[in-house]
Amino acid sequence: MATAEQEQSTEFLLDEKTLREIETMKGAGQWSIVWRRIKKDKMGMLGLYIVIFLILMAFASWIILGFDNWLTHQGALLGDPSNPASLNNLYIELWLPGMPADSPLVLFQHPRHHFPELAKLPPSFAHPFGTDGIGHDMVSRIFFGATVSLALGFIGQMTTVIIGTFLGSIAGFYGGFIDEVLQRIIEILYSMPGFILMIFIIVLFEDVNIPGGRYAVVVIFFSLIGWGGTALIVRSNFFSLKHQDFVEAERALGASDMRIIFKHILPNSLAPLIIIVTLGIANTIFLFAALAFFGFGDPNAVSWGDDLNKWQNDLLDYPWMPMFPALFIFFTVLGFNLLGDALRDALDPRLKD
Amino acid sequence: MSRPSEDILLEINGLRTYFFTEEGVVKAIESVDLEVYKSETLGLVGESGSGKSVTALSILGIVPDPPGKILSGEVIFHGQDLRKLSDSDMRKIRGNQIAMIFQDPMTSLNPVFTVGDQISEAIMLHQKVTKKEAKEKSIKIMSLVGIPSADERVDNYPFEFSGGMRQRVMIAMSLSCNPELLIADEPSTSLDVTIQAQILELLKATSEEFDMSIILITHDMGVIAEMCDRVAVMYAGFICEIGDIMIIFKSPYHPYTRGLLGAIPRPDAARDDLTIIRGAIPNLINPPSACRFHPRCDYHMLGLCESVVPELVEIEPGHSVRCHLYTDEGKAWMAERGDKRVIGTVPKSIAAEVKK
Repeated sequence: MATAEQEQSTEFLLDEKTLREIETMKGAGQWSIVWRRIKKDKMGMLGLYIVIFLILMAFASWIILGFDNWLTHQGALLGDPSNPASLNNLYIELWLPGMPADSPLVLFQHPRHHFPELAKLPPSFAHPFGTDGIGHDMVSRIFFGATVSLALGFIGQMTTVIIGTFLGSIAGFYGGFIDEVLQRIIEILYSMPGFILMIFIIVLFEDVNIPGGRYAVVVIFFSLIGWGGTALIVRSNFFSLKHQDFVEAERALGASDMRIIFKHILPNSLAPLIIIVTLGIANTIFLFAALAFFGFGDPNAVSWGDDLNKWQNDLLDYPWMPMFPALFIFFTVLGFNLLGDALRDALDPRLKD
Repeated sequence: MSRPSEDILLEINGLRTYFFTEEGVVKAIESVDLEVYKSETLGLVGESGSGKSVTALSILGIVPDPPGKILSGEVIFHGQDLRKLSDSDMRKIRGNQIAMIFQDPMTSLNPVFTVGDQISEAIMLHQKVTKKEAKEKSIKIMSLVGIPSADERVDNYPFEFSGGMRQRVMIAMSLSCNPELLIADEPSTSLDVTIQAQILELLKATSEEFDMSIILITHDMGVIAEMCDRVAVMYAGFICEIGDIMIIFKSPYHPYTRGLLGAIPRPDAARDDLTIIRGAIPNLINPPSACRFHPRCDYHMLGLCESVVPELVEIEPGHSVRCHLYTDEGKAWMAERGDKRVIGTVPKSIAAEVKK
């Protein structure tokens, strides 16, 4: 009864807006504070929108292409499934049960198919981004290239961060010999020119045949040499966190080392990791695009970097061919950097508002 | 007033813990011998840096290593030496049979988890219960330690609690597995006085309810007087006096204990100057030889105190002192010189004995 009375009296005193504000403040954990700060940051929100747009685009293109391949193999679309060469996948088509089998809904020109007679067309209504030197539709190339370009950035950065976090937390927690060894390894990795090393490795493994093609080699090698920075940041974070009282309290409760490291200390260093990942994805996408630009990508892949490489010499005559892939790489890097900077500001505990 | 040895819950013999730092070896604990009886509260009192907290960490085997190392001694709990247990066996005892609460409740809780998560985790570490049962139990313990509307507060983060409430959460966490021994490392030091009283009251009540022994570490003689059955006085890594609270407060034997008690202002006493203990606590990298108190001691026996470590002498059952005033060597030294150092509160019988 007492609580009901209290509620009534507060309703008396506070107007509805204040009450609603109190309601939103309740349970205001760290993340809702971070979200509120990002919302105030206009450039950060722009970055967030760009990133969300790109992620949606990559997922949509991945799903549509997969669906199209699946339908074609099911025989729903025209073509002979037993003979891939005969498949009629000039366009991305959508066919739903009940539609006439010979007239599916045409969505896009297939990113891998080209019509030589349509080559080098400037942007027009039929081809908003124009066509490339051998007759690919640039919109289709850009749309379906998002999957590879973004996935490479994500996967490359995530594996790097996971390796770096694991090694950094072990070294930071135990210190001593393990830490010394780790630091020396990082110094060795840092003393080598990464980009040239990557090119060397790609050339070395040019003929290797593993699922994922040449980009799998690139991603694996990138994460093998790229974890140093993350490891150092996590390590220094652990150095300050491991002497906190709650670690000792946890030990007094009988928790094992692994539990303390990964369940208790690591969540406390999540903020820098999120910033590393966000800014790192931009850098990784940029690095892979740069590798492709210099001709060390996968010529068979549909990706922005490879398209940029293919048509870089046509910049003056047919500017749309290299321009649109370059523009999308630029927007991706810009979006992730803006979001990363906003996150860095929002996660800074010294800022309070 | 001593109790039969089968009532002993925890016994520490000759514990020695050093820290091997770059500046040198910090001899934090030189020799600690004490026993904790079942369902009693033992106070561990001493200046900052006298090794109280390190003793607690040594009992649980969680001295930070490196640089810390327990060099020798045994910690016997329920008849088994905890120092000989494997790491995983020891983890089963920590938090389960021996729990610990820390000085600063502001930093001893993990800031990124709700208090409910943390109490539940403590329960699930030692008991086979589901997450839901653990949470229900957490709520029950939280209301037991006096956290109002525990069923709502269980989902709050530590930063949403005040200092006193956080210390209650810490106590709830340590009580979650019904430990037999609770080590409370200055549980009330960082709280303000009214909250201090509440927390101490809570500790006292729960120790009775759970039939649990407490080692209460503090430098506040008032807290000791309020809470404890027995008290052990530590100085620079040695236990210098241990005994029943009434005996120690009424007639302290060790010069250091006397100094400590003399330094407490009393509202009822005449407005005399408080006695002081000269000097400061020594640097433990290079501590004074033998009896580490000798440079500050009013009863310093030249040639003896700095060369021979005094043994722990049992004055009467359950009351031991580590001081040359009461050892055979000391008595011989005084007899040789016709010295009458034993003065003040020391019972006449002993003073007479020393005189002889």
